This record gives sequence, structure tokens and C-alpha cells, in this order.
Amino acid sequence: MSAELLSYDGLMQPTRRHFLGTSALGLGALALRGIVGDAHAAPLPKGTHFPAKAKRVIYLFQAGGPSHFETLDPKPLLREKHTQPLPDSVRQGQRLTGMSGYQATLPLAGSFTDFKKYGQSGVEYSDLMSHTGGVADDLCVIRSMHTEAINHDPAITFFCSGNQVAGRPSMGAWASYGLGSMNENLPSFIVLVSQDATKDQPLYSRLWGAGFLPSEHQGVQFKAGKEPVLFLTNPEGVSPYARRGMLDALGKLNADQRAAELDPEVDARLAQAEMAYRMQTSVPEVADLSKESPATLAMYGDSVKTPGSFAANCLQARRLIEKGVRFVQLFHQGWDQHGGLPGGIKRQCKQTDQASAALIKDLKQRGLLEDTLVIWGGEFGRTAYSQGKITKESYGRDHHPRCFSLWMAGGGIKGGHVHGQTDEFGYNIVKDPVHVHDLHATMQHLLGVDHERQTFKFQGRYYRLTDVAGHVVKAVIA
Amino acid sequence: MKTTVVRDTLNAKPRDNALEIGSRSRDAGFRNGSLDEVQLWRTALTPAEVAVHHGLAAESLPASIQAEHTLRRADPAFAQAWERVQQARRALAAHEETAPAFFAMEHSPLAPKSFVLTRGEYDKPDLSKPCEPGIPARIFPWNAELPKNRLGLARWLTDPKHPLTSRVIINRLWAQVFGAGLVASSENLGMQGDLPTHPELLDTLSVDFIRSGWNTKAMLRRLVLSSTFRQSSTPTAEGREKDPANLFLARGPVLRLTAEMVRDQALLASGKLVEQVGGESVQESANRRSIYTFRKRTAPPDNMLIFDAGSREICQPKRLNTNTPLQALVLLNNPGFVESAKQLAVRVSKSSAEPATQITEAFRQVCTRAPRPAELAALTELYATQKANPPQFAPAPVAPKAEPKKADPKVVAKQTNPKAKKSPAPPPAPAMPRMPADPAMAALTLVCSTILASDAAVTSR
Repeated sequence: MSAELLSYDGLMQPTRRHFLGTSALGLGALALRGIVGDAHAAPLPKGTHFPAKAKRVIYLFQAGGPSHFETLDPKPLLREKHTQPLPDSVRQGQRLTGMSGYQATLPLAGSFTDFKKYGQSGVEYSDLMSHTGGVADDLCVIRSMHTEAINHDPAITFFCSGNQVAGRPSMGAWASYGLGSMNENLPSFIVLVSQDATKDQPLYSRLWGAGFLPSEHQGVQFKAGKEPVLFLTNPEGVSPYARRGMLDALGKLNADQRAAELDPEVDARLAQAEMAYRMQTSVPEVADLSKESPATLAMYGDSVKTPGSFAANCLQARRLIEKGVRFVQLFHQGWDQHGGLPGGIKRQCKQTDQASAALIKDLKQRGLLEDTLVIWGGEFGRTAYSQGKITKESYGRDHHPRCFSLWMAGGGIKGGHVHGQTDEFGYNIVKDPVHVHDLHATMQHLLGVDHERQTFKFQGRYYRLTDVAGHVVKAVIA
Repeated sequence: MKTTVVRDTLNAKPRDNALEIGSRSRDAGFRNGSLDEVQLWRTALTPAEVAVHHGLAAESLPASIQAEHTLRRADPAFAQAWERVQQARRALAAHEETAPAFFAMEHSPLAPKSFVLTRGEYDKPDLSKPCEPGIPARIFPWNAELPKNRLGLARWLTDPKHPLTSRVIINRLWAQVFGAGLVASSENLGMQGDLPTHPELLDTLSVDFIRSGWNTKAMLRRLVLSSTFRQSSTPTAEGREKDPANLFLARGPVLRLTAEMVRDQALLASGKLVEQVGGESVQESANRRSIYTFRKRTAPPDNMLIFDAGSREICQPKRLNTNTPLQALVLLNNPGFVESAKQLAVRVSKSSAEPATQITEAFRQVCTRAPRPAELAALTELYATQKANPPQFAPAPVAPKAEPKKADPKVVAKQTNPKAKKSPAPPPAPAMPRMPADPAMAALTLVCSTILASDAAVTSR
């Protein structure tokens, strides 16, 4: 040991934390055993911890923060009190954003659109969500979602990865990592971004990134058009015959390399090249919506014929899960109505309502809904008061993380059910709050995964999608 | 009248060149206050003018205030000097406008004090527990003479007696060269990390590194010239059995090239790599080494992500090493790699007329060794079959003759506006790569593409 540097051995003397953390007889080990079993001893094998109710997930992410007041959470009181100030007793001194926090007044805004009861369950949906109302008996509306972030970027990053700061693995990456692939021809996590959406807030590839998980689990974005997956198409002049010849030669090269180097990793590389070859056939096939029946297309609405529209992506999602894709996440931007909300949200619902409902019906008629979990919702809700000017016809709403709504369906979810409740102002939760971590825990539970046991060690500690939080919401499970 | 001036400056141009008073773009009014009167003046008022404007009699003002007013408003020499100052300021402002905005950090005297946050909640500081910047003194004690800022931290970290910094760096350099560090958990040399397999080696290199003045290049040279690195990486059956992970370094390292190396190597083999050192960042199409290409964290380049380069959104001390179908698609179809295969084919076709020699040369350029007989046979067979089946191209669509467009005066004005912001040109959309039509060149290109996608190309052995 050199005299110039302080001793490394000195640094390695056991500390209290070390004792608690790693000693077999330490308190830490005792306390942890109950929670994590022996899962930390070795990497978790792929598969489930208990029987799964859902085999796959379609997440219809509504980016920008859809207003719950005009979609899923009726608040008649706000119509009576339209333009009156938000009572301090409701706000309770809570922080607002810098966008509306300096307004002279916070005038309440009643929904411009009516609500009706739908289905046997009689759950209320707004008139803008009438198609969704049509499948009310299959849906569970959660009206008591809440989150930690008040601005788009941290909130959507939090929703998609369980952490506000970028860099953690996304929901779909965790599902792919934990459960593995169900097919040999397609990636297990695929992302579809609406091309017909109003792009008010940006999306980033990190929202479907693998974070610190192996990169094979990152979401692969399918794009509308000739080349749904990057670099899928052979260069011009390379026929399938030529490509086959190349792969055969590659097989011989790698077989020789394997024999010379005694390294099984060489086989893995060839297997991946062969899968790439199969994807060149399977991807264009699954992306071809032209063989769908006119009845199916009609169900999704006219815009299904526009490649890359939300409706086309809903149909695409169904085709992908039919082929064994584990996790499909759609993103539809444009829900950020700080001003002119009525016009904006009408447009948003027109783009998404019919196709979302059609997806539920389509999955159901094919017997896929029972083991496919579908989730519709955004990163936060919107304020009960108007941001900016309020008139009889128009108003805006600022970001509101304290309560918002989303719906879930299929995959073990209780249909025709409402979970949680907000106060008369739609401002605070009064019953059964569901945190984003709780939603993640529930989603993983339905997939047969114990969210506390699916971990990955990074930078010296174990990480989970729910990190150190999250409770399964048993009440929404059938 | 008691006046409180909160701020007395405008740092930037108002948005949309519109000055809003008492409100912001999406607000309605401002809270807990109202505006009584707003006046805008083209010039800075003298204190006397302000006083008179607020109803004081001019005669009642102190003599010094009156004298200042007289000087500024009535003295022609002052007026001339003032005008010169104004001109100089305008020139300065105009000049500053042309400079690109540049952010720098400095310690603000107004920086809020930090407190321990109750249970980590950002809005629940415990005001009885103020805190200051500090370091984990157990690792290495703080020198009280150092300033408690980033400079002090840098000095602390690079103190020649600091026990961790040089070991961490050496361990990472070792991991770069040998695939794994002497401490396997190169991201964690702490309590929960692994113990070094060769502690004395780590210490010796660390001390030498500090003595050399932290000379990274010399250290990397030393590592790659070592007999340990230059051993054959092929294991004996016994070696593989007894030490599959090569912890004892009885053989040379095996490592998948990094994303940057995979790209740079293809460029180098094609002869298109621009070996310029340093300078401004460039687009990928400039064919410089990957460390010089622009990286946008929110839109990382796909071929880098696919080969595990990470998005750089968080510190990633150790890269993963995956093996996916998307990597095969990049190697075989990414326009950059196809272009490299084409150029490599052109290059080796000039070296000899003999296909087997051309193929051998291409293999050597990419894999830095001659092909073994079975490898050469496989590639020669591929060449022969592909040459016998040359590429078929769909007839190119005849482009309709474009009408010469009338110049849109607005567009022209925009293009020639000297004030228009200069930003780096966006990367040109890569065109779909196309095979050469000549059967021999097409076959050779496919051979080169196959070599670039082979294990021997992307794995250093």
C-alpha cells in the first residue's frame, strides 16, 4: 500500500450502515427479509410472482393534462358558482403555479358541457365522452388520482417512469424487463405517437426509454408510413434474396468465430440478426391496416384512415397485442387548455373519444379485453378556477396535480365502477386517493408482478418502478 | 414619499416586443395590488424633475439637487458629453445583440440560505437547522483554507492525497480497455461496491497517475501496451472453466465496441473518417469521430441509443452491453453504415482485381486481422452468388418538371434579414441508401456490409 494515498482498507472498515445493510445477522437483513424475500440475492427470473390477470397493457396516454371537469368528474356546483371566487377554505393556502398564482382573482369555472349517466352502472360521462360512455359498464373511472408535479415535464416523466427527474426506466420497459417477450418477431414494448394531435407540449423518447435497464427493453416507436421501425427497410437494390444470403454468410462467419473463441455471445448476436430479418416481414405485416373489415374501421371512426392518427394507432395497438406485444403505449398531445378550454377540449375529445371506446369494443369482441389492461389518462388535472379571462362561453384552466381522473378497463379491472371522490369543487380528494405510485403498483399487480419485488440494482442500490412507495388499489380489481 | 424599488432594470427584450403592465401573458390582473399611474419617459429624469412632478416646489429642493439639474439640462458641454455617452451605449447594445447568448454561473450574494428539509420535503425547511456546503470527511478531510464553493470542491477532489479520485479514474480507464474494472462495480467504490481483484495494481497505477500530472493519454498508452492487454483473448478450455469472467487476467479482454467505436470504426474502414482533432461540434454527416457530433439530450441519435450510449439525461457511470435485433438493423440498414460499406467496397476494389484479395483486405480493414479460411470461403461464396444475381431497381419515377417558382418577397426578406438568428443547420434527412448498379461492386458492397455486421467487427478480441 502506498504511503501517498490514504489507505483504501481504511475506507472499507465496516460502518453501521454496512452492518445493517449487508450483515446476514444484521437488523437490516431481518427487516428486509419480510419485504423482499430472497429476491435481491440474485436477479429476478423473468416471469410473474403470482397468477396474472392481465397479460398485456395498452396505455392511451393523454399528454398535457386533460380537464376532469369536462370529461369524467361532474361538478354541478361550479356551474352555479361560475365566475365566483374560489373559497379560501377549499384552496387551503396550497401553492399554485406561477402562471395563475399571481392573478387578482381565481374565478370558478363551471363545465360548459353536460354530463349524462351511461350503461347499467349509471356512471356519468360528459357529452364530449359519449362514445366512452357507451362502454361505461366495462370501465372503472378513478376520480381520485393525484400526483406530485405541477408542470408538464416532471409530471409526465413521473407518470411514465415513477420519478420526476429523467433517467429512470419507463413503465413499459419495466414490463418488458420483468415479464419478457411473448413473441419472436416484434419488440415487447411499442410506442405510437398521434400525428393528428395538437402538439402543445413536447414528448421525449425518455418517456419510453429503458433508463438503466438493458436497452433491449426500451420502447420501440412505430411510425406511420413506409418504415414503421427505424432502419427496417433494406437499402435500395438489396432484395430479400440478397439479405437472406448475407445472413447465411453471417451465420457461417459467426459459427467459425464461435468455434475459435469459445464465446456463446456470438450465437446471441446471430440470433438477434435473424430476429431483425423476421421483423422485416412481421412489422410491415402488422402495420398494414388495409385488411381490417369495413365494420371494424367504421367503429374506430373516419380518422382511422389517416395514418398515424389516434384512431389508427388504437387499431394498430390492437393488432400489435394480438401478435404478442407486451406493452403498447399511445401518446396523444394537445390537452393543455390554459385558455379557450371549451374549443380545445372539444377537439381533443373528438380525436380520441370514439376510437378509445372502439378499442374497448374491439378487444371485447375478440375475447382480448379480459387479459388486456387498457388505461386512459394524462399526467395531471386542471384547476376549478379559470386561468385568464372568464366569460359565459369561455375560460381556461391551469395545471392541477391534487386531483384528476382517468379510466381503466379489462385485465382484471372492475367494470362499471367509480373509485374515489373529489370535493364539490373538484379541487381536493375527499375519498380513496390514488397516487401515481399506487396506479403503477396496481398495474404491475394485475400483470402478476409484486411491485416491491421487481427490482434492478443501479448506482449501488435497488430500484423499482414504484421506488419506495405504492400500494395496490384492491378496490378497482374485479 | 417612501419608495421601494424592487428592481430597476430590464434584462431582456419584452416578449413579442409588447410591454405589459400589471399583468403577464396568461394572467388576469395582479394580486394584492393595483396600478395608480404609469408614465413612460424617453429620458431618465433628474431627481429634481421627479420631485417637481410629485408636487414639490423647485425652490424647496436642496442646492445640490438643483445644481445637478442645471448641469444636466442647461450646460451645453454636459449635453454634448451626454449625447456621446448615449451613442456609445447604443453602439454597445447593438454590438451585444450580435453576440450569441451564453450562460455562466456565478455565486449570487442573494442566494437563499439552505436548511435541512423535514423528511426531504422541499417546502418544509427546518429553519433551526441551516446547512452549508460540505463533503464526506470520512473519505478525505476538508482543508479549512479552501473556499466552500465549486473551486474548493475541485481542489478537494484533486488533492494528491485524496484516496478515491485517482483510483476511480484509473478503474474506469481500466474498464474502458479491459471491459471490466479492477473493481468490478466501477460505478461504486464504496461500502456496497466490490473489492478490487488486484488492489496493489490499482494503487500503483493511481499513484503513478497523480505523479504524471493526471496524464490520461499516457496512462491509456501504458494500459494498451501492457503484456496483459496484448495477450490472446481466446480462452483455453481449462481457463474458461476455471475463470469464465477472466478475473485473473490470464487472457486478453473481449469487449463489444461502444456505440461511438462501432460508428467510428465503420467510417475509418471506409476511408471517410475525418481525423481532425478538436474544434466545434459537427453534425453526423461530417464524418468526424462520434465524440464531435452534436448530442441533444431530448433527442439522442438512434444508433447511439441502440448501442447503449445512453441518453445522457443522468450520470451513467457504467454502460450496459446489450445485444438486440435493432443493432443488426443499424449495422445492415442505417444509411451511414451502408454508405461505409459502399465506400469500403470502392476502396478495396482499387487494391486488387482479385475478389478474394479484395474481400481479405476489406475484412482486415474492419476486423484488424486476416479472415480465417472458413470466413473467407463464406464471404467469397456470398460474393459469387450476389454477383450472379445483381440488384434490380424499380424504375425511378419521372419527376414532374417543376415550374420555376416566383420568389416570395416575404421569404426573401426573411432569408436576407441580417438579424435573423443563426442556429446550426439541421442535419439533412438521410436519403434511402442505394446499392451500386454494377454487379461486381454491388456484390462487394454486400460483402462489406456483412463484415461490418459480424461479431468480429463489433467485438474486440
